Amino acid sequence: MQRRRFILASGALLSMPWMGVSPALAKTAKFTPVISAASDGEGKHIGVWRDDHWQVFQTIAHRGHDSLYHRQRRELVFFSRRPGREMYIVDSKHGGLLHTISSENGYHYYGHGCLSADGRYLYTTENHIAGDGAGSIGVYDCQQDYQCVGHMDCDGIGPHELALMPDGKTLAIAIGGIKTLPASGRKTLNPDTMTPALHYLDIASGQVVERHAAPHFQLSLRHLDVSSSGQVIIGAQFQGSLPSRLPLVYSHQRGGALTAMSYGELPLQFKQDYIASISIDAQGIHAVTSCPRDNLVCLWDLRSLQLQGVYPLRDSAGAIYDAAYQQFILSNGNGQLMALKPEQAKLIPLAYAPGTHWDNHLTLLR
Amino acid sequence: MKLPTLSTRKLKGTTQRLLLAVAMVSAAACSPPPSEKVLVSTSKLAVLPAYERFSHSSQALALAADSFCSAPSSEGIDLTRTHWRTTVDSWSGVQNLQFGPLLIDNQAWKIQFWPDKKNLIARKVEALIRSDEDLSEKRIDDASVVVQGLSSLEYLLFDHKVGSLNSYANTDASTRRCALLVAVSDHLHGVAKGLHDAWRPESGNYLQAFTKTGPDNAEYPDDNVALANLLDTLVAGVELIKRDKFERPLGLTSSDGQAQIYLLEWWRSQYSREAITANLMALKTVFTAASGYGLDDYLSDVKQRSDLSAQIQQQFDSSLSAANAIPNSLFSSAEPRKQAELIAFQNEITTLLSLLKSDLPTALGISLGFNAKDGD
Repeated sequence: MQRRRFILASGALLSMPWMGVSPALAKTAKFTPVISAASDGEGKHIGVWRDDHWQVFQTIAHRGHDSLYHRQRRELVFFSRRPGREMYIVDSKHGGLLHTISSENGYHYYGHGCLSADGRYLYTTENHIAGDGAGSIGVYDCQQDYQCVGHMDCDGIGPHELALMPDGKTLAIAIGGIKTLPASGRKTLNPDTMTPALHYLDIASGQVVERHAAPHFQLSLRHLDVSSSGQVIIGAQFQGSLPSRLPLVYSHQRGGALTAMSYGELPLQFKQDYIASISIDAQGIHAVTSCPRDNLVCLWDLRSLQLQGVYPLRDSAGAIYDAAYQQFILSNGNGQLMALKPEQAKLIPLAYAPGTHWDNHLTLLR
Repeated sequence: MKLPTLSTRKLKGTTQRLLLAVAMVSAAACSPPPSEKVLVSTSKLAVLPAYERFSHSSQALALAADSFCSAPSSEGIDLTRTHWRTTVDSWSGVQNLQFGPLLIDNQAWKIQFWPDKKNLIARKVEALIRSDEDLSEKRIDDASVVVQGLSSLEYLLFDHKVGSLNSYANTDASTRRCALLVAVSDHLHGVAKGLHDAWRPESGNYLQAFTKTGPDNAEYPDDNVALANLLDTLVAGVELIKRDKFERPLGLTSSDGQAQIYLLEWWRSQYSREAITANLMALKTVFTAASGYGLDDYLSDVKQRSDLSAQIQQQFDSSLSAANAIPNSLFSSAEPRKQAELIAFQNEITTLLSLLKSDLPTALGISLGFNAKDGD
């Protein structure tokens, strides 16, 4: 399904002859089409946004969270936001909904997933409700209509984002530590005994082979990205009294210790202690982290492990590196897509969808 | 021109109605839409004057510090302290603005380092005085933000050990302490003037960026995105007052329990309550665009919510009255949980926050933060 959408949201826009990205911008600011969930006045959607319009657009019943592009299969995979139980497989070329996958009985999704090195299997973070909220990694066979073929124990409550390590054999898993059960909604059931961590799971054996506890029991490790050299950057959302003044972003290499990224003497840059998305560039030189509650995006230098810059962007959440244009793409709750180029002090507008709230995470159609 | 707000059916009415409609259309064609009027009035009548006051008061502070140091006297230090207070008042008028040049490159941190949980200000300022480094404005700019701005000046002017005339007149370090006082004041004025310049139409003209929204505007693709920043300013400002400037340092929330009095803003000068009052007045001015066409008028005219508009203004006023009714400095309150005036203020500010955070976004149709509220 294709759909062009030009919503005239405010009175000011009514006096303008046209909407969308200006011809000048369209000429200069290019970007690879992004995959995202979004909400607007009409409901909740998933799809692909190209230039100034939805190239693929699908309305869904619940809010989506993360997504991924299965390149070999030309399919988009969308994950429901917790405690959703649906995964949507969409034809990336024609936009049709191919499958709606439901989690196995007794499980729900946490909103993230990743593919095996050969693209055969899909791994998702799940809550084993029937197992009293134990964290689990669902395994799905992409070649068999994404049928669930099993679960692996990730040995931690609340696994959230996960990524395949460059060795192709290991999953890096951000263990949020927060126990919830659908019967009590999103209420944290273990506020005093959380054990957030970074776990590495060996896919072949299904065993957790390396684990690093978060430096504080309330420092919920939720999102991560992995560089091509295996550097893991992981971000936290503090569950205690704010601000925590604890480092929120950590770097890790297999076998080493969890190392706090340094933001010098400005701990209160982060008043709300909440990292939404993490994205590392193709060269492993920079990472960005979005902080929607503090209305800013941080740029990190991965070699010095230092904060390099801070960019104000209201309600910013989605972040993904767009190698084709050597830029990070950021999305926000205001409907803006902006480019962050590390050598530039200001963000560059890419697109604007008035009335649309881009949801937490972006991925690329590439 | 297209007439999107008037249906064809309406235009088929009586001549009188047609004339009225034509009159409305021509009025609409000449005057900017209400949302743009809000942005222009608020910028020109609330934001720009606030930056101007901050720039001017910091200049007066720098002059007072310079004159004090040329011949230290008790009148001189008193006058410098008075100008410091005036500058804190004016800074409190821009402190909460959640948009524009203030947010770029940690400008706010150059002005205020707070809270200072590890007592870094005292340590770093004293270390700099003890060193043999040149104490120029340039040196201050290169130095840690801890030794910059109003917080560093507060330490130099009010600390119970070193912030007295004696430190500037009779000790070995007097000359260097005075040189630092002057350099930090000059640097602060430079920062304040830079922010004012960044907004002024004659200079950086951020005023235009904030008020002329549209597809070619890099930051604000339409008025709603800019208006959202005004909403953020009101909510974040009142939230900061309630949580960080009041409840937490005084231990008034059940979860935090006991008072952490050194987390109070401006505890050394015992100016915490006054800064809250200045914040509230400034935030009310942002809401009303002073006497101009503000969010208050927009709520009444465009959203037909004159009730909420009036309610918010009244709640600003009652919060201000409750703050002014606190007879002592917050720092000197013996038992905050038992002091009736503090509890009364807490109730008023809680109601104000709830109006701004729950009722106002709904009425304006602007989300306070879609992803910010996500919790995943």
